[in-house]
Amino acid sequence: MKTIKLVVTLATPLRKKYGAPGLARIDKAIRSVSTKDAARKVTTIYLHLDDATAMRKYRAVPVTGRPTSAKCKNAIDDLFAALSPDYLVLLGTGDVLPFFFVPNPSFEAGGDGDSDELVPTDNPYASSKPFKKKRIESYLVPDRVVGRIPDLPGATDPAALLEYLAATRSWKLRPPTEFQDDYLVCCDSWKTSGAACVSYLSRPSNRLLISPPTTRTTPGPASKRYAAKFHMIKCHGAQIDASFYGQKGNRYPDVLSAADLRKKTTTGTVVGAMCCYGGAVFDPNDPAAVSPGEQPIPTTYLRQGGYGYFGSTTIAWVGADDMQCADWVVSAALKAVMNGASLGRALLESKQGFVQWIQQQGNVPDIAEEKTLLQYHLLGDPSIHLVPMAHAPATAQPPAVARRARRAHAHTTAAQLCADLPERLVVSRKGKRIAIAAAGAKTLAQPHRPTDKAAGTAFAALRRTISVQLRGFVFGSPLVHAVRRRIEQPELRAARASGVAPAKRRTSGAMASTASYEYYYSARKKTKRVIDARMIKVETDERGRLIRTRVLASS
Amino acid sequence: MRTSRQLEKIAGSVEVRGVLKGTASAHEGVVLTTADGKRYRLQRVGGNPFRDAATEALSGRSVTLEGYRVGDVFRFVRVSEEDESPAP
Repeated sequence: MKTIKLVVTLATPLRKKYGAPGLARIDKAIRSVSTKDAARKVTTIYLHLDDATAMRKYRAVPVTGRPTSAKCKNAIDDLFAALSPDYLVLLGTGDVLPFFFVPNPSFEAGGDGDSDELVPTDNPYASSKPFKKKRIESYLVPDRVVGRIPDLPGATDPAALLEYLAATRSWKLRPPTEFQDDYLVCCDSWKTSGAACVSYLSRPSNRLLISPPTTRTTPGPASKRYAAKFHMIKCHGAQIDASFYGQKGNRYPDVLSAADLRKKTTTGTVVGAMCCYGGAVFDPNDPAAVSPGEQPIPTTYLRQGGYGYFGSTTIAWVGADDMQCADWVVSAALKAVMNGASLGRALLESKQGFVQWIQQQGNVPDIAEEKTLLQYHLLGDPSIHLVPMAHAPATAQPPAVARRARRAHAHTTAAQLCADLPERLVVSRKGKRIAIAAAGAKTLAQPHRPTDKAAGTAFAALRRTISVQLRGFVFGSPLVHAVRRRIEQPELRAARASGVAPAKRRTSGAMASTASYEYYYSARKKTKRVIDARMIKVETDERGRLIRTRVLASS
Repeated sequence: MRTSRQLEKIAGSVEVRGVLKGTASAHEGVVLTTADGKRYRLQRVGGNPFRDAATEALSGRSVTLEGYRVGDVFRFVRVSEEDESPAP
């Protein structure tokens, strides 16, 4: 049984950027990677999705005309049907092989909250289901092992891509001791949750650098640790910006800049960034760049021998006092890598595990958690393993067979997790009820919707309970979501089949449903010029009875 | 195939207010509101996007800015005080 790595790209945009000679250099570099992969018993299949002849060989429909993410996804799905690959590599950044742009679940129109209307994501490529933009369950939980090897947007020289391919061509497993030295940095404002992430990663909490006082200019241990092969960065980031920032109160010092990393990265480094835009790769010559000409931080790592980078394409959600959203996805991916998972599998298992963990507590992913699942991607070759597997499998299966079994398990898990995802509708924003015209809305029991007063009572009770924490916060009207979960009840189907009538008041079908309402209250506290923000979620059932509450914190 | 971005001018009043509430990037930002009510978070090219004295100095003023729109951010390169006298 072969282990297959499928590498796909589009020749036309690559030729447009780099000319025919540039494309030939990229093709040659991939062939060189294929030779090395073959020695590792991995069969690499490299295809231009817009090459009709090559695609026909696999009965796949080539991408024609203007390339879109939907066309690329269809072509990739055809290739999966023919080849059933273990790994999918998307070669090139968004101006070569387009990202999907999906609605941001936590977008706050016209408000002072999350301003990303859309989220660039590779999740639909990583999902075996056909993509449906309006059905988040078609792309929220991935089941394929995927990574993107980016070039630079707007570049005319493919050096960024070629340098990464050259650095990773000869990768081999290294002992875990090589990853003991680390660079772990966190804003002062989030140091409690930063320490929790470090603890989760089984590393001593005193390894965590706090910013400030750690900055890129103050003398200290930070710069000495750039050469470490394990990096976790929980700081601030901004659009088209090659720096990350710490925070204490209203101070936001530069803590890491791409320029600082130059010639410092060790081959084989893995990086996880919880920062906003931490995984966004931009054109360094974009006139709107904060530091014109400076390369993005992920690109800097990857060009210098970094093997993998987990980062967010947009504004991220993290915890201030405990681990939330991005903290879990990034930390779990880093942990899986250190347990011997491939880079791609690490992110897949991290995302699936995150949803599983939420559902095991009887919850469903909320809007911040949904965004986190969409915005995180792996930059790098998903087939690379950094260390041997920590726990050898109980049965001595050939690696390819074990990999196939893991893939089948990932597929089943994703299907189960998606089946448990709720239908979600925004029914009220900033105190204004939204008229729901969608056919599905009828099923959300609008007549039974509790009044805002019912949720408000629960919210007021919560405020009283944690009044010390919430002192001084000014809350606006909530964003309200109606959420319906469908719960499969196979025992009812069995009862019908055996001729036994279902008990009274039970649903007559094999599905039961529960509806709830989620109220998201955003608040902020102003102390001089410092902002401390909170998002409080109150969830009630159809009759307004409190189910649970949750406090998302941010600095 | 360089990223093409149009140099634009916007005018309006500037204030400091909480932005990106509840997210990891929640902070006290400098915001320009145009005459038609559109809001942009202001960041200076070359400045710290979260805290920049030169950007904060615009607070309370009516200004015209030259720069680039990046989503709801306006990254400016030049500032001029808005002419308050009516056009002849």
